[in-house]
Amino acid sequence: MTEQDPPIESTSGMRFAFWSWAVIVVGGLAAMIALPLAGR
Amino acid sequence: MRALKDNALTLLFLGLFAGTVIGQAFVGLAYENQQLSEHGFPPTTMGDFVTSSSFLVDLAENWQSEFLQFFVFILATIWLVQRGSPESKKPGDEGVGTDEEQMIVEFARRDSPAWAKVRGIRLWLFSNSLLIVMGLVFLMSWFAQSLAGVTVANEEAAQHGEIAMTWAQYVTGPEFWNRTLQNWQSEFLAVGCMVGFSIYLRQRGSAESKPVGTPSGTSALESE
Repeated sequence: MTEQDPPIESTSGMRFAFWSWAVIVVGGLAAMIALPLAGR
Repeated sequence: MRALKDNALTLLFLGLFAGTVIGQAFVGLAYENQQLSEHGFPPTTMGDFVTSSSFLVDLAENWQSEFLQFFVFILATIWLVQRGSPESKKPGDEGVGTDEEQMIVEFARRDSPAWAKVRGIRLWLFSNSLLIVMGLVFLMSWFAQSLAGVTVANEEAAQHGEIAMTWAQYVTGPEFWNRTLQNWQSEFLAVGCMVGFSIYLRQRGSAESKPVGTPSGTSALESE
């Protein structure tokens, strides 16, 4: 282990920033693939 | 208030994304109905339009090129540098870095992510996770573009009494590559300009710029 800097706080805001984009991208990809395959 | 300030970049871009995709849906519907009217067909509804391949192909072709841009940029900046650009490491720093520089395994900090602390498949996956995810989103949205694109092309072919084409014919044909390359060229132009312009130009206060007084030959903050 190296010398410690002050720990960076992992906040609910950071999780929101990550997961909001993940949900948009996964949801968008699922729709963009499923709907044309369903003949839309 | 602290939470809003700490996540302001995400909130801004979520708002911009939502606003522009909703705007695209409204003007896209207006354009679609204009086209339908000119061909003597009844107008379509918003629900039908935003779930149609003609809306999705435009969405997908823009998504794929954006994710390709970041995929290539992340990959290229491992091995290639541009002297003077804040988007680049400094000359001599090319490559994946040592374990010490990357703070992994025996050099990990107590608060490093768990997957950075032990050698193995998890370390490899975590070490390349940004590139892997951007690459997967690129490939999947490019695939989505091809699926929606062939559906739209075949709808138009049917309207003109022409025979439908297969997916393989579509992805090797000129329409697919015209839609693809016209998006790629603009992404590579913009990234190239960002790399080149940021050598000599500054934006005071921006994370995408060197500090104003930094010598033009200095590549990145880490090189100070």
